[in-house]
Amino acid sequence: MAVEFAFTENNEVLVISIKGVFDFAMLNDFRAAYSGDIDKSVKVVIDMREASSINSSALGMLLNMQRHLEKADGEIEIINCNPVVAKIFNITHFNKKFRIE
Amino acid sequence: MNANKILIVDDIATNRKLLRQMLLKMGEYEIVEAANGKEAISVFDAENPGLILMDINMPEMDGMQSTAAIKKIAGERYIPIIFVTALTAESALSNALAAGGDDFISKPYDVEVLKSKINAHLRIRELNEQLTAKNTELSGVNQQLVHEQDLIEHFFKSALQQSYLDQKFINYHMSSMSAFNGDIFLVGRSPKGGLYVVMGDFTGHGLTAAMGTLPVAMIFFEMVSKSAAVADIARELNRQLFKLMPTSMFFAATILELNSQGNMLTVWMGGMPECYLLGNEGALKNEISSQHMPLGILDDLGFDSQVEIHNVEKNDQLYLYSDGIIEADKADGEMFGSERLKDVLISCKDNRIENVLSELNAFVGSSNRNDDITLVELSCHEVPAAEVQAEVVAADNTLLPWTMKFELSSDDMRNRKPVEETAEILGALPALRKHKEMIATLLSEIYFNALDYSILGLDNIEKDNAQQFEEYYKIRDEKLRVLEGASIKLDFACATSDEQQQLTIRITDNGKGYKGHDIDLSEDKLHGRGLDIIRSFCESVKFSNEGRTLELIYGL
Repeated sequence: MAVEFAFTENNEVLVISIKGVFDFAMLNDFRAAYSGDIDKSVKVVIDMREASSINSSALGMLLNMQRHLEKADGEIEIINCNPVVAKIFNITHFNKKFRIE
Repeated sequence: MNANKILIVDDIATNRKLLRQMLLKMGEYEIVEAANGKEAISVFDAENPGLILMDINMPEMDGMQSTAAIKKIAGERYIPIIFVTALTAESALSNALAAGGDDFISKPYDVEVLKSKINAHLRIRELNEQLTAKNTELSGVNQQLVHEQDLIEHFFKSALQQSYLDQKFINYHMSSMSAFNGDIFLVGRSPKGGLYVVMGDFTGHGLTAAMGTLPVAMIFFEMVSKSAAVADIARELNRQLFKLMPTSMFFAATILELNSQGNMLTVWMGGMPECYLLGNEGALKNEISSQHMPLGILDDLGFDSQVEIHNVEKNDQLYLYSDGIIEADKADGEMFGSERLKDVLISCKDNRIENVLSELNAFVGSSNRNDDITLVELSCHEVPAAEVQAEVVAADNTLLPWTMKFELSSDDMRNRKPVEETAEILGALPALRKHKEMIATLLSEIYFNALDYSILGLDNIEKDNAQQFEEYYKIRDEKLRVLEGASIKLDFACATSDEQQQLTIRITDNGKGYKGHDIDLSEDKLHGRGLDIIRSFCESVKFSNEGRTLELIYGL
């Protein structure tokens, strides 16, 4: 599966892991990962360790998620980005909206 | 040595002759003779007899001196020396035995007594020979074992030496009951930054227990070099150990990663005692305990690789240990226990490892430790990326120019993943390998621009909120489903221009054309960033053919 998600730390953290090319083909899987009955206080972490690259539509999907979960800028963490992915987040100023690691 | 060769030592020739005849009548002996103690030594040297019949009083050198000399030469070998004597004084006999003689027989000889004494001593000599041979064999085997252990130790050391043991992050103590240790502790640094630790304990002790450390070390360092996820490392270790190990063996282990920011731990624990996270001031912040069975027990299907994530702060310290510490017991059987360990950790502000060890020593006192002991302190800090050895590049690394073409039909657009497939093919070329992710991103952008906007004509549909976003993709799916007669051509050309290698990517479609939106990046729009991404990575971006062709030049 291209998108996997799991709650850890007593259900306080939701980790969504992306595998392969992060683009709109993942739209439904990605939305399913965060659209369940999720408490507002849950911390959301996107793990990009196995994401090879991303597409601009993935950026839209991330913003979409941020709105849906009503998270403030910098609250959602995106971790383990490869250099290309990190660069894209930088160029598009996504580092202002998400905490990019 | 000839077991049946008997040396007769006597200064009187007739005595020798008499003994010789008696012996020859008694059995199959070979007889050699010496006329005094001194001659006896040289005959002993030359003839190597199995037994000596020795007169005591002789000129040149008497029987006692000669016996002492011969015994010295014989060393570990047992050469029975029987004194043949007319002396009856007990003091004289005891002197003779003290000189190294093994027995005596009085003149005149009783044939039966002589015969049984000789046979008894030859028998003892034979047993002694066998024992010596066994000892020699044993010490040979032992030497070989020691040698083999040295070799094996070399393997272990080389496998374990790859650990990244920077004291900024890691302090540890490891002890072992025997030459090898069932405990294992490895640290690796990821090429992306971040620190990986595996600490565990194989069932049993010694070489058998240590056997499993080799595959664990090899798998661990290989996966760390690929910055693999903790869950995947756990799964792979389990898979291999399950295949390799007998049912009675397993590997309790903690596998963890401290991320490059030094503020998050990802932990998989199976069958290990809980570990303690202490904050800056020494307060206990968290106890992390095992959620899983040890590795090597469950098959891949039944294995659970679920990890836990814990936030940490700079200078937090995590203490990991093997059960050897908490199970260390006093003579009365009372164990050190995890509560005591926790108390010691919390009660001291620094040098916690040393403090735990001295408490432990005081606790067990004189009773012997009976398990391997490993104690590890991990200090949380930012972890810079490991330096990756630069790839060896040939002096002349310019490529032959080449081109590659793909032509996609409506069916290809509907049913396949053209971006991933082409990126995969290009990425397999050595010169493009390190650009693979970038090429995939560029392709993804230009392909979806061509398909969505030029061919499907979706460029005028708003995508500014979640609902519109979803609506957009619904329409897109519908249009794509019934798409006919569409074509997208992808041309790739690699060439050297002004001493720089360039990859030219050209995409041509037969749709209505599309030249891009102008958007303001500060706006919180859900779309429209694609072209900006392309422009920032490419040396040139050119639309032509009414927006049906887009050409990118990407520097390699």
